[in-house]
Amino acid sequence: MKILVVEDEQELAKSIMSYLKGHDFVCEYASDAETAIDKISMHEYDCILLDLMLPDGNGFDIVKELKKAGKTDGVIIISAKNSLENRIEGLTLGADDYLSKPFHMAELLARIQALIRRKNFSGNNYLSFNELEIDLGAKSLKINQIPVELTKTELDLLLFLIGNKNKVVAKGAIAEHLSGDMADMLDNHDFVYAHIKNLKKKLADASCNDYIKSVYGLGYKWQA
Amino acid sequence: MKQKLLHKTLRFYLWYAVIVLLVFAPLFYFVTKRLYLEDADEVLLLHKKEFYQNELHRIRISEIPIWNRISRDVKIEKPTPGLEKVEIKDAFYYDTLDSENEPYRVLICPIEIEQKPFTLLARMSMVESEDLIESIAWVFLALLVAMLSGLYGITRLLSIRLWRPFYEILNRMENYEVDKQENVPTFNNQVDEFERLNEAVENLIQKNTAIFNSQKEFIENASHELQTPLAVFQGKLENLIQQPDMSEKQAGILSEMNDSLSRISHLNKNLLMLSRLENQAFPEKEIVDIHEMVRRQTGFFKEQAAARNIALAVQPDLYLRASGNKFLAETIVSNLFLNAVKHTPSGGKIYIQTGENVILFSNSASQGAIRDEKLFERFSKINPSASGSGLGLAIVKKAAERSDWEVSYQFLQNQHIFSLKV
Repeated sequence: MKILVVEDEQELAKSIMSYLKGHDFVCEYASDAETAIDKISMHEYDCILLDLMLPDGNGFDIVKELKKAGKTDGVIIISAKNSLENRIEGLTLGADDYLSKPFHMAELLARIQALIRRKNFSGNNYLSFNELEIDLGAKSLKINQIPVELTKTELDLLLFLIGNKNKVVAKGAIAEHLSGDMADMLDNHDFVYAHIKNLKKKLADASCNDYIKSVYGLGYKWQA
Repeated sequence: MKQKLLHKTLRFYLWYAVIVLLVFAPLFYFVTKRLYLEDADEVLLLHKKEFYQNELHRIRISEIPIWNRISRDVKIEKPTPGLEKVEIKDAFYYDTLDSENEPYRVLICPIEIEQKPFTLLARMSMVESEDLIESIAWVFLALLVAMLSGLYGITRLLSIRLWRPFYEILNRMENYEVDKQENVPTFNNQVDEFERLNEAVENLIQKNTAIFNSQKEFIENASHELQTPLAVFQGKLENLIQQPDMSEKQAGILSEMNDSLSRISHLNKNLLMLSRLENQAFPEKEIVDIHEMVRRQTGFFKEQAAARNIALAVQPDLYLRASGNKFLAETIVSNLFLNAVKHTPSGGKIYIQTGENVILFSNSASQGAIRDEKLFERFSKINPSASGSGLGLAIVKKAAERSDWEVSYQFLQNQHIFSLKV
């Protein structure tokens, strides 16, 4: 899958591309609006990561350009502007998602995957991993064809971990993913541990392999 | 108690008047009395002269008793020993009508009738002079009172008119708040000093506002500019923790870095939020169901509370609606929620209830009431080692202010109670 990273901060772009590598993504990079528009007009991307403040223009203009050309590339805005107005303006213009800086790479990856899944949705929306099968529409899990009851949070957590498979996901990233807007107000991530524990137990009870590894005190990893 | 300027002026006038009165009243009395005495003496001398001219050469000794009986104020008496020339003095005579001693002015003078020595006595009652002096004193006092009250009135009137610009400037300064952008009406006045004062105040306000604005801008820009480097840092760190051959020690360090970074990000977000609350207009108003907001957030916070062994309960029929901005209301509710969860000791309780136009967040306390007037100010932490940003309550206060709501703190029955009045 092809991703275009439009970001004038090179170091950030490098980090993003390095994190996405190994998840079946091919990343291209544009550091200004002009390059970005050139690339967009020539290629199709599954997802465009777009910074709003670019040296030669506003990211919103690129979204407008995209819609004018009738392109259906998915757009995730990544911006330092975290105001509701910007968020609303971006989404009204046709961006698919909005992520404010600073963000967790794990979160970005999860958003990209969710976006691509939505775009490629073709009647049946399943995600499977070995013996696990998740129905994204019905929000349900089957292990070896047997349904397993999960809470909404646990399912969320499972999806997040599988999405970031083979990556160490920091506790903070999980906390933010699970608690949404509230997360940045919290300084205690202990509740993550409780959810992981419950999820692990439910998976083990359904005789699922233990894929969730704890990486010292740092975070967790879905070991494929 | 400080005096008002007007009263101070008037007090000076009053003292002056009292001094004038104290000095001049006796002076006036003596001068008047003296004048009256001189007058009386002249009259007595005139009587004496008349007697000399008209009577002395005709009167006989045998006629003296009759004279004395007829003449009331000029009498002929036995000779006074040692009296050689005319003498005038004060004396008292018994008044049979009033049966009391009355003051008189008396002239005595040696005379000879048929070569025998006698004393001529002319007298004049001074009762009337006392009455007169008394009357004059009253008039004098009345005059003084009239003048003083007139002076008071005029001064008052003048002061009020003269000092009006001063009081206007004073009012303006009293009502001035640096964080409220308001257009204060400027006014013209004719007095140079006040014009200068007005200009000086104007300058001061403008400078103050400029400094305040640039400070606000600085905070906003600084936290804004920090976001990109923070994002870079976060990205690098997340790539770093993917290293396959990481030791436990390294993981520990990275974990601490992660935690610190999330604190910085958190702090920065709150600073931005505070700047937004200060700088931005929130014109969209609607009817906000605050109880609904609380219910929506309860699940999340209940989980957080449970993790710290805190019981969180919400009044079953929670109900509070208010007209306000949704974003501001949401901000207040979540920060009050968080504040309660954060500062309740393990095993404690949190209870949320509503009343008439008010919502209360109460939580059990571990250390008694918070005695800190700066509770709602930024970075005023009760416990300096606590991990919060120290901005939560400042955000609550600002958001409440922007909504014209009121947030306050109370300590009752060993519980911290934060209330939001809408």
